[in-house]
Amino acid sequence: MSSSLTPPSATKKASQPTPQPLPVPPAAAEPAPTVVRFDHVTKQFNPQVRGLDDVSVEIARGEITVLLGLSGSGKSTFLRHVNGLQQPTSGHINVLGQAMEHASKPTLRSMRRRIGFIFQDFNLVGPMSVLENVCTGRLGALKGPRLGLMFYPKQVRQEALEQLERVGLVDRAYQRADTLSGGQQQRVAIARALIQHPDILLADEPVASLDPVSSRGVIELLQQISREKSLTVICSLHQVEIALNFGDRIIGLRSGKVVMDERTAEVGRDEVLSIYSKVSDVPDYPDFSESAGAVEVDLAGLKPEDRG
Amino acid sequence: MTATLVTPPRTSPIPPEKGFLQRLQPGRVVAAVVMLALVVGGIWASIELKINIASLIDSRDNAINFIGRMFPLDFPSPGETAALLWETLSIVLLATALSVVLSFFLALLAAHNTSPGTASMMISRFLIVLARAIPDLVLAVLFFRMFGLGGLPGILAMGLHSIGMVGKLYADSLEEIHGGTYTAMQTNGATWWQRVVTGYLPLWTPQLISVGLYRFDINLRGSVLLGYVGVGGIGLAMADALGSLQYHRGMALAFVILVVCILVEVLSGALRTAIHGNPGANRNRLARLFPEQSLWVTEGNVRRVRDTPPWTVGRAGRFLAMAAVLVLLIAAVFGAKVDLGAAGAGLLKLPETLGHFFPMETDPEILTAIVDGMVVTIQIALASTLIGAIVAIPVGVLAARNVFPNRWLNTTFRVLIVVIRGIPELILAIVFVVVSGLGGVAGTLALAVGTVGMLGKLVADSLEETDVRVQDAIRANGATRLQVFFSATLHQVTPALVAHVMYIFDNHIRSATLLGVVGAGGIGFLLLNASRVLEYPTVTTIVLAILVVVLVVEALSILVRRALR
Repeated sequence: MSSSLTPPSATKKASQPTPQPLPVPPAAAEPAPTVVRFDHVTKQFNPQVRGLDDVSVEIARGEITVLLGLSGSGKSTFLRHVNGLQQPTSGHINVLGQAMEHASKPTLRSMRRRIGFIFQDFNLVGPMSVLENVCTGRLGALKGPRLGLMFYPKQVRQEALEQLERVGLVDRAYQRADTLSGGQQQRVAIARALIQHPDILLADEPVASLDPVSSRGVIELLQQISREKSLTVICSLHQVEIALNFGDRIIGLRSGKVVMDERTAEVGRDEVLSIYSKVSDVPDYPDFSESAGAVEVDLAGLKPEDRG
Repeated sequence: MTATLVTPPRTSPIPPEKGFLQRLQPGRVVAAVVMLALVVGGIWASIELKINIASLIDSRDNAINFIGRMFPLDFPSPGETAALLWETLSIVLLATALSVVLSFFLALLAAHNTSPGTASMMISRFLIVLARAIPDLVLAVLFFRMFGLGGLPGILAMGLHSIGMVGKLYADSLEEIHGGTYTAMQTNGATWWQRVVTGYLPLWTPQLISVGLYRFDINLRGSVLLGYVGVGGIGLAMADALGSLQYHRGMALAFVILVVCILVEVLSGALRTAIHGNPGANRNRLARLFPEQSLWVTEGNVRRVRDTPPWTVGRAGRFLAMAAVLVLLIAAVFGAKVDLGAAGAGLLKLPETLGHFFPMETDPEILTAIVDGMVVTIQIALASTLIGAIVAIPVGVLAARNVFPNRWLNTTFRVLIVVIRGIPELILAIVFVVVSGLGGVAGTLALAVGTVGMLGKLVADSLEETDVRVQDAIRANGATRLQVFFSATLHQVTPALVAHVMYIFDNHIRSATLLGVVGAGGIGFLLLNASRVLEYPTVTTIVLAILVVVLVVEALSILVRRALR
């Protein structure tokens, strides 16, 4: 990859203009530089609800961090603060040397070019070809709106093919994205994030909509990519088992607070489950989502004649 | 907050029985009161307008007389007919294209998921409502004053007025798109334009095209009316012929318009179905025309995956369709006889032209006449909604395939609806003016017949969309078709029905302001006269009166729609 492909650094404050990683030493040597720093970050959604509550976290380059917690515990909110989709109510956030709170729109845009994002429901443009979907990952580095594969430079198209090859879907390049299976769509979404040449990859429950086999494939792919490029990955998950095998580090969130922050190697399964246990007495059914409760309300609120 | 919602008190899962007053939901009360007011108003208006069976029978002689004067129909030569039609179609095509383009941008500003700010959202929404409130006839009068004859006034008038509907439907459909792709483009660091074009446009395009086609259909019918104020094409030819009492020629042209309207309606309906449906079978047959193209290409000694999309039926079809639309639009510029020189001169004189319309006319005598005209207009809308609904609802029920399933019966009524929908209201008004004389009765009857087409279709569609499982459950208890209809289907469809009736009333108020142009009663007659004798201040006063009434009814229907939610 030539250096011209890397997006220009956002501001003078961004301390690492080149994403070419310094040779990352193995764990024993001096610690890897911090790429994400949360300093007493609080997000108040409304007077009653806090998305994040006094969160202070440092994440080092090349680390795979898994966020665990119930729905509504602040996992997505955390991720959305890293790439500036949401702004904190108080506290400081520093990503790749750039302060994210109160950053200007152009600064945020150029920061987002360096931060890939993977969604639970993939968010591919269904009627578009797979290849064009991958190309859209480069929009931030291109000028003007684009619709149609031929409006992307040849160089971008060829690199998109390379990324598709990396995720094993190059033979589907000219198929409509919505004709692929869920697991395949998530791989395309990963290729779309990779073509950004991100320094950080955020993944918001990337396997929550997938079956176990596809989940495993997607997680292994993320793991390989992170190791190859010493890419920092922050990933929210629901499955404790996957988290234990996938991450270097597990951060547990509950009601926006950090209740656990451990190296995966040093933590036991029971300890991880304790993230959930104080809320629900059913540790092996952590996905006790709010919607399940809402259904009960509806049933109880119905008049008897409406039930029949 | 969430905690109290999620965990209901377990002790009393069944709430205590509510009293009568508590069971009355405010929404239902509002809807019921408005519906009752429409019925009472409709009866009052019918009495005031002296619509009764006896006078209808009396006018039978007029009808026979009229038919005698109509035949034999005197058709213009095929070449002349084609030229007139092409001019009309060109104007309608360009007007629709103009509204599509302007609505596209307004919708981006108006939809909450793309709007860059609250201010732009409020302004664009206001412009859309305003465009809907000002009749195209009024705009045409203004633009003729500015640009003189030619196609341009008609294009601008219809194009701007159409924004009211097209812009609203565009914004609504944009808001229904799942925002994930837009967010995905945001996380790439894409700009607003890039997000909108790449994230939303591919998902929005089917609606853009289908609403445009629908509006083309409506504008074609509307263009006939604009002939009365001078917009060229077949409408103008018909207005001239009828104005000089050449009924043989005028009704022949009306017949041509009728046929073309029904053809276009069927064609645009088929196109819209094709866009939203899955054209699997045809595509497979066509696919054989395109040899399977390899995914691999060889450049020199390197074999690699191609980086250009292969030609498929879909891609070729999209290119051809775009090319065809482009060619048609260019041809239409010539067909519509757009005089760009006059347009430029007109724009330069814009302040002066607008000056003619101010200050508005405030002479008490004229004001009284305008109020009287407005009252008749409202009476026509009320009476035609009531009479039309009484006929249209049974017709819609019989046309729905799931109420009284009988292929022969349902198809007959469906065809009836399609044919009535195809007839421009103006042609109905012309016929009824001859049959029952000048005045409100003709307008009421014309709109009432039109209701059968519009409301009948809406009722039938809503009935077919109801949840059949509830009906099946009741039928499984041994209920007859009629019992199922009254105990289940009618309940399911009532909110939609109320909304449709409100929509029809809203629509009839707008139409009733215009049908006076052909003498079918109401304020349109005053409007046409004032613009003919160049009394522009009076035009301003009439337009303001129309605006007030239309906006009040619009507010009323928003109220009802909110209440039903």
